[in-house]
Amino acid sequence: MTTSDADRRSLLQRLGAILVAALGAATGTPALLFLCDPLRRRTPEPGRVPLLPLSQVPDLDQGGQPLRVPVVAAVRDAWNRQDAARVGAVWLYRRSGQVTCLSVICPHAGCGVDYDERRAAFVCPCHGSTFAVDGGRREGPAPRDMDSLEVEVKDGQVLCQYRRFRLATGDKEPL
Amino acid sequence: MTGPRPQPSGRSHPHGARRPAGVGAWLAERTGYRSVWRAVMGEPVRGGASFAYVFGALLLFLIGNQALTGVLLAAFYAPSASDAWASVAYVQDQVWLGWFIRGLHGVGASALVPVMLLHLLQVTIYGSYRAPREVTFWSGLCLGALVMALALTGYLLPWDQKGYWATQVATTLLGAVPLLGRALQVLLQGGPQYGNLTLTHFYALHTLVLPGLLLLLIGAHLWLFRRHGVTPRWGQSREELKRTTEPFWPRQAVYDLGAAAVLLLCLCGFVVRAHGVDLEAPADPAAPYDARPEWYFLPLYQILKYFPGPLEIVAALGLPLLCGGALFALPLWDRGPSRDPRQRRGPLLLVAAGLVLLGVLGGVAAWEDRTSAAYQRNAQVARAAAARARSLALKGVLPEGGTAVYLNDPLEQGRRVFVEHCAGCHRLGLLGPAAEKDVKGPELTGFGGRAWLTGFLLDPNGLKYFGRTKIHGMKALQAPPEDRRALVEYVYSLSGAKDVDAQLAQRGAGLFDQRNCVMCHELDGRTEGEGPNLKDHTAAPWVRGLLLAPDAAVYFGGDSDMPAFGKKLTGEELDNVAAFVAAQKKGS
Repeated sequence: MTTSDADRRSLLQRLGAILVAALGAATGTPALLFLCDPLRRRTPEPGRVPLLPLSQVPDLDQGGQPLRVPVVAAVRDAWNRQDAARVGAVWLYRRSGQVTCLSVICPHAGCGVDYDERRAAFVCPCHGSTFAVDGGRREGPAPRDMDSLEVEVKDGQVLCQYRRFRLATGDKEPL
Repeated sequence: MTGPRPQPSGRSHPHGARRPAGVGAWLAERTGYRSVWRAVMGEPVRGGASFAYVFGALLLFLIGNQALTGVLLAAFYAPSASDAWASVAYVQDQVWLGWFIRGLHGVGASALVPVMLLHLLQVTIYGSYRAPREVTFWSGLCLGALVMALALTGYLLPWDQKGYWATQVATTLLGAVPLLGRALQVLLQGGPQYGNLTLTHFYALHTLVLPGLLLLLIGAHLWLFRRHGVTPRWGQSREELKRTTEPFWPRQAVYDLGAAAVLLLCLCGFVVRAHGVDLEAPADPAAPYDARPEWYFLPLYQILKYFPGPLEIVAALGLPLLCGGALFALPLWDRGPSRDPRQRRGPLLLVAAGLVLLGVLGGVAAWEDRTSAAYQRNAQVARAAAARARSLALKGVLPEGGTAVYLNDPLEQGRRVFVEHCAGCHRLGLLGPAAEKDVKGPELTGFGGRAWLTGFLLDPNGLKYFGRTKIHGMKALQAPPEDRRALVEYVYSLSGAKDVDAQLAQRGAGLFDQRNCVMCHELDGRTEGEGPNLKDHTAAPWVRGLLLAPDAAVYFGGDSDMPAFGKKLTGEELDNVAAFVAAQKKGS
């Protein structure tokens, strides 16, 4: 191979490498951007949803127990919308005239927290985290108290600002 | 000498002595990847690199494109009758670059056909199918058939009107095959009718079975190709060929890559220009659709027109088999001593004639559609339906999916009543009679809006208004434009519309009195007159009352030919269609 042949060959090799890189970038970039679409989306939280009439909320002062209430709200799930979907649940009760609403989602790993009548405490069946009736952390691996949710009583109905929070963190951060 | 002593590779060293440095060398010793790479890149191209050889590489590139975009789409697609359309609309209209990725997949599929034909043409001209490459050629023909099967299974997946109805034709043809046809059809469809299982079956075929077969066959085709080497241009001596032989990398590779880059640019150009490929309205078994297959199946579609009734199967099955058989037999027929195309006119003419025939058939099919008024009108209606469905889908589709998207339109129920009961006589947008002679009542496009009212005042007895009826009492308005505008604004305000120019309407009210409109048209909702009472004119209650009794004295009296709908429609239907008609003034 003469020098000019060698030059031409190495020029071609360089051209080949450039073309491979260019084609790779041209096909790979839109592909990656497309896949990253979910990163730019924020699912709007349901907002204020009606839970129960106030009269049906159990009163602990009168010997009642916290009540597990499903949260039904309008949802968007990618291409679907539903007008009345079960999106979660809360523990609801009244005490000393105040309505308390606690998310059933355990802040440890996301299991649904139960209420133990005998111990008058919330207990998570997955890893044994225990919480007081007011949601305060007692024992177990949960990093924080049960997540309380804002409630409002309007026209005799209890409305809840349903939200989800980050799990396994000491701070209560909305998702 | 510094550093570790170089050891011969491949020898074991029980005392853990040093190896040649470098991760590459480490991997090479264990996997042998470098020798594989050298074997691939070093493929001897006898006779030298040529642009004539790029088509095979282009096909590999296109298949790779289909695979990549296919995987991306599969990450966002749901193969169920209720979710499929909505998920595709979501990708098309809401996901970042979704239109682009889907567009590349669709345009890429289309591009496979001409590139396959060019590859076939090049192979024919060069006589590459001749001994000892017959099996290579046959494996290539099978690849072609697989690609067409992939195309067919693919365009059902959006479950839109076009995919649904076009594929129905294909599976019906399958059912017409003697003996096994019916069973095969049910097997493929997952049942006697199209439904969820049809989609899951086609999806499994399109994403798993057919690509798997394709991969195997491509492997075989490439292995066979490498075994015999590329077929060089005819007429070169053995010495010449030996002299000009060069390795695949870099020259042929650069030709292939360069062609691929140009092809990618063309694909992207097509996709960007059309902003992706089409998506029709959701599949609706109750709404037949003027279906056409994708353009590359048009020749077969055209040929079916010439073989009516029981002869259909001859065309659908027999002719493709005949053409396939002829191609298959090419290497067995073309065994003359020379590879020079000038000495092989027969085979060349056969292939060329076949390609020309395909082109002519496809061209005739396209021309017949272009010149058919009925087809063009149906296509226009379909495009409007698609646009409407896609824009409604942006709000999210109810879980029933598909046609439930229309329920996002609060006027949908009224619209359906209109289509069923009113569109026989009245035109409204694209709804209504196609032929002029079938129109019996006023056109209702933009009914009650300023434009409609203006047109009416200028020409109340024209064909667009009452010209086809016996109602002729009103004369065209003779007034300067600013007076006309004021009168229109006033009459418009009677409907209770919110965007009225109050000053203009007030001036119009004055003119309504001055010009004696009030002599024929009362405004209290009760009093009879020569013309209809104009209280709440064109608002929903006025329309509802009209539907109950068009010949009432407060409406059009005895001259009206319009039927009463009190007995034909339920209360709810009357409410809905009145709301629908009354809403036409918005956005007009």
